Amino acid sequence: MVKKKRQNVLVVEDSPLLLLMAIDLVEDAGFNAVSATTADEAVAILETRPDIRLVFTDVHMPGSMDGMKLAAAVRDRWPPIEIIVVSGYRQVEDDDLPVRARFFPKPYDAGAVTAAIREMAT
Amino acid sequence: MGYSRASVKPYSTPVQGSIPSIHGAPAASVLDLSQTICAIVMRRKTLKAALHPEEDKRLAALRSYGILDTPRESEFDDMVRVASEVCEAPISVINLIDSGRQWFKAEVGLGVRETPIDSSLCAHAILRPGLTIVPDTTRDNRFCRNPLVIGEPGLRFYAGALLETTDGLPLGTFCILDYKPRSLNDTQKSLLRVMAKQVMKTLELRKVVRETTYLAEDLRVSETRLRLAQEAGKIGSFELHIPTDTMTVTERFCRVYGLPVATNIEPASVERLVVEEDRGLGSTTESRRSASGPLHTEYRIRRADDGRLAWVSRRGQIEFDAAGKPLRMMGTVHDVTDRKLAEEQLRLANVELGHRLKNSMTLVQAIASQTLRGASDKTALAAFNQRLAALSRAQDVLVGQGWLAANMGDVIRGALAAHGKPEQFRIDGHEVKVEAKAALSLAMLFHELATNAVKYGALSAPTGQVLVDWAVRGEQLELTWAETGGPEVRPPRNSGLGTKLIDMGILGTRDVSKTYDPTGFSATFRVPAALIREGT
Repeated sequence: MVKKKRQNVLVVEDSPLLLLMAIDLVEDAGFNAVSATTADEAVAILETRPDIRLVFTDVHMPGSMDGMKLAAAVRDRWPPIEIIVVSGYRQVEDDDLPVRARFFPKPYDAGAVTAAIREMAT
Repeated sequence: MGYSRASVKPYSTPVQGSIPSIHGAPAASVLDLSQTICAIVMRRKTLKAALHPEEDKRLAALRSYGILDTPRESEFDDMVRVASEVCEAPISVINLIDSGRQWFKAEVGLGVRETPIDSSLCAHAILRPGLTIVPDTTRDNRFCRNPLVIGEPGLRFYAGALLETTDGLPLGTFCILDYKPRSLNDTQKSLLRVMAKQVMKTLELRKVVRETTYLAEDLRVSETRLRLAQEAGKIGSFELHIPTDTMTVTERFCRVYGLPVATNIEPASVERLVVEEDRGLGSTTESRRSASGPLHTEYRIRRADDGRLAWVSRRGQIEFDAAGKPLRMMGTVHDVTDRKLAEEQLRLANVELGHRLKNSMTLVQAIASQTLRGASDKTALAAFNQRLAALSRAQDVLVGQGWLAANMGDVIRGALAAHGKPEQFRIDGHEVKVEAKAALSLAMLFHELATNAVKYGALSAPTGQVLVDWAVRGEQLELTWAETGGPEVRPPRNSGLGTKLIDMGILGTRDVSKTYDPTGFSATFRVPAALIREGT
């Protein structure tokens, strides 16, 4: 295996426990996790860090925008960044998501999400 | 008042003992004789007047005027005052004979509004028609024993004109009384008769006014009630004549659609109101002509008058003519907007509940993964996560179908979605609605079956296939899982949780037959159909 610098995944999740789990998942998948607890914080990070490869976000979060709006903003402002949306709200349809974004219902299948992250971000 | 009172002999005891002397005392005065007769009658202690033969009816009639126990009124007071003056009598009364009492609508000279019936003079008078005149009460065997005659105030003269309903029921009298025996001249007699009639006319008139008021009130109440019932029921009806495409409808029908109230309307005027998306759900000229439209349908309309969105449920039945052509469609329309809104709210509440449950499960997942992070057996956490995900998908199916029950096919497809590729499964069976607990049991069972198939069975090979089918046979639901195209299988040597769960069967019945054919694993599960069906 060729050793190279780990890609950065921005994890956006307001629940501490779920954030920890998501960070572990991302790191176990072989990526470097950057965390934010609101969409606003995520945007602030994206504005200063051009090295984010993928945004992994929850939908329902406090602040001026939710995960769906964040996904739309990312696709609009940083088109190359890949997007994964997770939510306990199952009515998230493909039509509601930006192009190339993928959705996983909570509680998510860690294996499936890991596979998706690897596929999208490498 | 200026009237002089005649002196009245108090009831005298000596008379009592003189019965034997009646025959032996022919010289006794007429007065003495009558007093003697009275005394004899007194001993029988039957003072009261007999009841009217139709007393109940009479009392009901009296009460129907609603006059009893009303305050004094000048209208009646004037009558007794005039009668008293014209008849030159100290007492004048409008007397109504109630049950157990006589009650005076107006009086002069008495100073009371009612007295007990036992001492009533009028109670006797009402048993006779027209005007009753008793020139000397002491000489009348109905009155001579009356305490008001023989005691205070010593009433000696009575004249009463009957107060009689149009049906001939006596209510009381218009009467005058005096303390001395006397008579009335013709003018005075006719005055009493006229006054009695006047009292009755006044009472009748008031009764009519009262009844009209009640009637109007009743009418208003029943109209309101009918309207409320219609509003609450919101059911209108229609009859459609198919050959001419014309429709006869009720007022409520028009109200449901917000159309101007009319008896005959064009079906197209209703059709136009159906919202664009629901157009296919209502009837059309074509569907009516061919009688091909649905008999029961629900669609949304924009009401004609206020443009409000409303849900209409329409039920109908079609009559055919002798040639078998549709002739008439009759039916009802019902505004079901409230029900639809309630259903929608319930659905949203279910969805919300589902979300919260999902969030809780996600937290459980996070707790498990964080707690077991350092554990050496990573497969245990993976298995846990997968089982939790399977449970969660089953909850999804339940939430989507209203929590209480779900379609069996949907539950099974949900459980298998995370395993293998969709084209590796053939799921076959009549749709059966299963209740929530059975749905969760099925979901977990199929998760384990698929997990094993992915690890060791047909789903471990790209060409492997799984056939799932089920059928209700008699009282039993029989469900089969059959794998083909996988590697050669052998019974497992040790049984993990997955195998244990499979052996438990559906809802723990343990009614499971497993075969490990070289061609592939298969299992048949049986459960009493009544156990898994919705509503059990």
